[in-house]
Amino acid sequence: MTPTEPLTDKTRIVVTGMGMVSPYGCGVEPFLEGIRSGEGTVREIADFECANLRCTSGARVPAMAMEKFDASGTFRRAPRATQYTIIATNEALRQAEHESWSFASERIGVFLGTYRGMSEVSEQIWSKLIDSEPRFVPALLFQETVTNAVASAISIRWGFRGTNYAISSGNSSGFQVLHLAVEALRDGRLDAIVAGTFDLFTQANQHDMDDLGMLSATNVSTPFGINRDGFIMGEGAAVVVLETLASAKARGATVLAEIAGLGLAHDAYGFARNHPEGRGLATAMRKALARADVEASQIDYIGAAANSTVSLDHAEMMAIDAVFGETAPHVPVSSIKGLTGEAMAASDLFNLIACIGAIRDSLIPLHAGGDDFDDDCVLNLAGEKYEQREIRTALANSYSYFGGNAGAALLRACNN
Amino acid sequence: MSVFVRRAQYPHVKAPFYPPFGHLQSARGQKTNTGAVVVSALAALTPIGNGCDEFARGLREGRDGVDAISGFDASRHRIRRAAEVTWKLPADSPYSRATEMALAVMAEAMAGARLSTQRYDPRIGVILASNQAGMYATATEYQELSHPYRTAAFASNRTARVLDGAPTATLDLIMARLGAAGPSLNISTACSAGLHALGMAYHMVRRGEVDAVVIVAVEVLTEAALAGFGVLRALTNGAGPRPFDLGRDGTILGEGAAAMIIEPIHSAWYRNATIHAEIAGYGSSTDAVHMTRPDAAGSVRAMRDALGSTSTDDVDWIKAHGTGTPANDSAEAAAIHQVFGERAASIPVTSMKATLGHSLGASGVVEAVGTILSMNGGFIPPTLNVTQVDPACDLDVVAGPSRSHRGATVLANAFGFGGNNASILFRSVN
Repeated sequence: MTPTEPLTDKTRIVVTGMGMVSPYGCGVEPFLEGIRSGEGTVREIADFECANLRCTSGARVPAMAMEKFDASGTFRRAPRATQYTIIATNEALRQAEHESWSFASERIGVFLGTYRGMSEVSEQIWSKLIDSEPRFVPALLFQETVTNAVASAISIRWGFRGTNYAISSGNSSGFQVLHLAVEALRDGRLDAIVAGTFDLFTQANQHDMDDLGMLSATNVSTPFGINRDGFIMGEGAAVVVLETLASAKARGATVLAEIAGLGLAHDAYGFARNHPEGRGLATAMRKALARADVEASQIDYIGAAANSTVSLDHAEMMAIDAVFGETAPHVPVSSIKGLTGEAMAASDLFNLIACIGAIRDSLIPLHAGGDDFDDDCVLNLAGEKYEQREIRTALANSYSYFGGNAGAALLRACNN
Repeated sequence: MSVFVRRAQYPHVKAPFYPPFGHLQSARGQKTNTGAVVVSALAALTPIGNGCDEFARGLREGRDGVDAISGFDASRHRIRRAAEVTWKLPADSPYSRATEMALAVMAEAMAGARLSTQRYDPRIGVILASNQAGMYATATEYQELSHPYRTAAFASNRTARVLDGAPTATLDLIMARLGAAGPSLNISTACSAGLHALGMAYHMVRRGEVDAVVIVAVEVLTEAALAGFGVLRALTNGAGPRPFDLGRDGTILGEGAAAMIIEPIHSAWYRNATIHAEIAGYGSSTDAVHMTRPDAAGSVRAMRDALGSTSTDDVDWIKAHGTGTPANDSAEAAAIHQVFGERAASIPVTSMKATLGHSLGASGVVEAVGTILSMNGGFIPPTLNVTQVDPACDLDVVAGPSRSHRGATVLANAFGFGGNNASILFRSVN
C-alpha cells in the first residue's frame, strides 16, 4: 500500500498494552506520576566508582529483588537488559490481556531497539579475555552478547514464533522498531507485536562519555536550558503491545492510543554532529504528520527529545519552529530528560509512554530544569505554571545526540 | 496515488530519484511495470577476492579463503584460523577498519548503479547489517581505548575512533557520505541480520516508502567473537569447516563487507542500470525454543514464507546457511526435507561458509551477492572440504568443483543465534 491510502480499522495500529522499568522503578504508573509531579531521578552514582569524573551523576534503575519477579535460575542469571525488558514485557502483556489471546504463535513478533545493546555483557567478555585467557570466557555469557539476545529471550519465554528483530541505530532505534512493527501489522504479516527498547549504562560508559565531554559537568540535566552543558545518563526498558484496531475491537481490548503516524529520517550532515537546524528531525516530524493526515496546528503536546546537549537541543528547537511555524509558540512542549536523564533508545519509548499517558489522562509531563531558556527559544515549555487542558493528539520526538538519526511518532486518542 | 503527489510532501528534495511521469518508459523501450523489487548494484570485499569480478571468479574456481589469522596475534586462542579479507585500513584513517570497509563497498555499489545522491534526500534509505560494526576488534585496541584499561584521556586524534566504536556510527557516516536522509536502520540479529536487511528493504521499496535502499553489510574478525565461538565449541579444529559432511565439527569465522542497491524495477530501467536479480520473496521466523540450539520448524516457516506462491519445483538450487556445525546442518537439512519433500534429495544445495568463513551479521548479504553472481554466471559454487555427505542430511551437496547450472530461481537461507531465521528468494530478471 502507498503511504497515502486512507486507513481502515485493519490498517490503523493501536497500543493495547505498555510496560516499563525506569529510574522510577518498575511500572508505568510510578513513571507517569513522577514525570507529572516533576520528581527527578538524577542522583550521585553510588553503585560504581566515578568520583574523579566531572559528571558523577546518573539516573539509575534502582536495585530490585529480581527473585520476587521470577526465582528461576535462568532469569536471575540473565543480564540486566534481559531482566528489565522481560519485566516490562510482562506488564505490557498483562494490560493487553495476553492470557486470552487467540493469535497463532507464529503471528506474534518481537521487535526490539537499543543503542548500546549488550555492552554490559561484552565488557565482561573483554575483561576475561584481557585479564585472563580467551578459553576462560564463559560460553553462556558470550551467547548473551548478541544484540538480539533479549528479543530471543522474550520469544522463548512466551513462545512468540513470528518475526524477531533487533535494531541498533542510535537513540531513534525505538521509533524505528515501531515503524517496522506498524508496517508489518498493516501488511498483515503479523497479528500482534511486542515492540520495545532497552538501554543501560555501565561504569565504562560513564567514564568514556565523560572523557569525550558529552556529560554535564554541572551534574544537572536542563533540556533547552540556557546553561545546559551536556546530558546525564539514564537507563531502563519499555515495551508496548501493538495490534490493528480491528483486532483490538474484535477481542474487546482497551485501546490506549493509536499510533497514527511515524516518521524516520536522518540529518545526513556529518560525523558525530547534528545539523544546526535539525533538518533530519524536521523531516521526521513532517513525515509523521503527513502519514497521520494531521496539521501541525492540531497537535496538543510535543514530547521533545532534547537532552540538555547544547547543539542537539537548539537543533530540535529550530526543527519544531520550522515544522510548526506560527503555532510553535502555542503548543506545549516538555522533555522528560530533565527528570529521567538520557536513556538512549529506551528514551524513545519512555517518551512514547509519556505521550500515551498525556492522552489518557489529559495530563502532560512537567518540563523540569528551570525557566531560563535560550534567547531565541520560541517554544511553549510546559513548566509548573502550565495550565492543563485536553490532549487528543501528541507528537513524540527522538533525536540521536550525535550522528543525527531522527524519528517522530504521532499518537492520537482512540475511542473504540 | 502517484509518486509525484507523495514527493510534494517533501518540497526540499531538489531533484527526484526518477521522474514522476514516464517512468514506465524504460531506456530500453516500453516495458510493463511488474512492480518487482530488484537489485541494481552489487559490491563486495571477501576473503576470496575484493570486488565482484574477483569474488565471482573465486567462487567458480572454488578458492579457499581460510588461512592462519594474520590480522592480529591469535596465539592465545584455541582456534587460530579464519577467513580474513586482505583489505587494509589506510594509515591516515581516523575510523575503524569495519567502517572504512563499509564505506568502500557503499561507494562501489553507488558507482555500479550509476547513482549519485544529492546533498539531502529523505527518499533514500540505508540498512546496515552488522553485529559488531566499528566496535573494538582486538584486546590491544580495547586496552588502549576503553575504561578501565585506558590510562589517560583520549588523544584528540583518537576521538573519531572512539566515537566509531559506538554502535551506529558506521551507519551515521554512510548517511553523511551519501546524503541519504531516509530511514537508516542497523539490523543486528546475529547470523540472520543480512537477509533481514534485504527483507526490510524489499518491504520498504514495495510500499513505496523510499525510492531506493542502500544495503551495507560488514563484519570484521574480533577477538571477542573468536574467543566466544571457541568456548561454545562452535569452531572447527580442522583446516576449514565441512558443511553437511559426515565429519563436520564446526564452523570458522570470516570477514566480509558487501553492498547492494534495492529499488523498484521501473526506476532501474529508467536509469538503464544493470538489473542483477529480483527479490521475489522474504520469510522470517523465530524458533522460540533455545538460544543456540536450532529447531527445524522455525527454518521451515522462513523458507515457506520466502517461497510464497512459488512452487518448490521452480527453485533451481539452495544457498544454505550451512555453517558446518553438527547441529545447524542437521536442522537445516531436516527443514529442507520438510519444505521440498521428495525433491529435497535431488535439488542442489551449497554452502559458502567453507569458502568465506562465517561473517556473522554480514554473511547474509555477502553470500547473497555471491549467490546472485553465481546465478548470473551460470554456475553453482562448490561446498569445500566435503568428502562424504552425511547420509542423515541426505542432500545433493555441491561437493568438488563448481557445477555448471543455468539457475533462474535460488533460495538463500540465514539462520542464527536465538533461533532467528530469514530466507530470501532470488529470481533472475533476464
